[in-house]
Amino acid sequence: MRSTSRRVSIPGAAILLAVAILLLALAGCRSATAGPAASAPAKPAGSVEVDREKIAREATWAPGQLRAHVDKHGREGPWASEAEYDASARETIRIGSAFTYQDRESNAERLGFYHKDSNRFTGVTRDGRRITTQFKPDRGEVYVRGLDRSTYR
Amino acid sequence: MTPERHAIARLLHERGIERHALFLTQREGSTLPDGLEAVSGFVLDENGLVHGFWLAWDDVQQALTLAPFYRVDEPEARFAGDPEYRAARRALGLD
Repeated sequence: MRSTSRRVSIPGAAILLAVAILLLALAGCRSATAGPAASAPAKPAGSVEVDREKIAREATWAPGQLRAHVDKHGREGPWASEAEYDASARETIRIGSAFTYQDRESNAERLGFYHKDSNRFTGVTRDGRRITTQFKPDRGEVYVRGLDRSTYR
Repeated sequence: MTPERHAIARLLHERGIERHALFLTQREGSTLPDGLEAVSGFVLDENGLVHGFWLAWDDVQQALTLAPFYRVDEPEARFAGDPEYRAARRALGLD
């Protein structure tokens, strides 16, 4: 009886092993294709798919905002003029890592572009039509990673 | 409500703006002396007027302020393509 029992248990273990391998394979596929709502936090920088050239070319500043931003952030670049500041913001859109985050005051989703080498961050509305800011965060990557619901990694 | 949002509402109240909705707001990365972060954006009031603002620090008064604070003329035309402006109007029952 004991030997019979052993023979039966071997195929059972094989089935369990096969099921375990299948589950692991499925889990692997899931983590590779999961969207932002998935629990896996690892989303590589630049993984947000946007037409950055179109945004860089066509996005505009809301009324009065380019002037205000140059006044407040101009010394950081330094960006001496509105034209320099605007050109830098558009370059950051073109060459920075793209990610999404949520604005804390309006809860609106934003597109972010961060260029690590020059420590430039540019914010854009989710539809890519408005540039909302550009500045050099004091804490660099830590700042953009810490934005609400930031997908920057 | 964030401390920054609360401060903006208080400063708008001081300017006579009560019921309002914010749109195109953005944290600006600068930490003000009281620990809050600078915020830029726009406010729509219940009369349909729009002002641009920047939550900043007044070095003379040693207090938070909205500077600059400027009125945007013809907001319907200038924000016609902004979903956040439309949402702000809906939030105030203007649309």
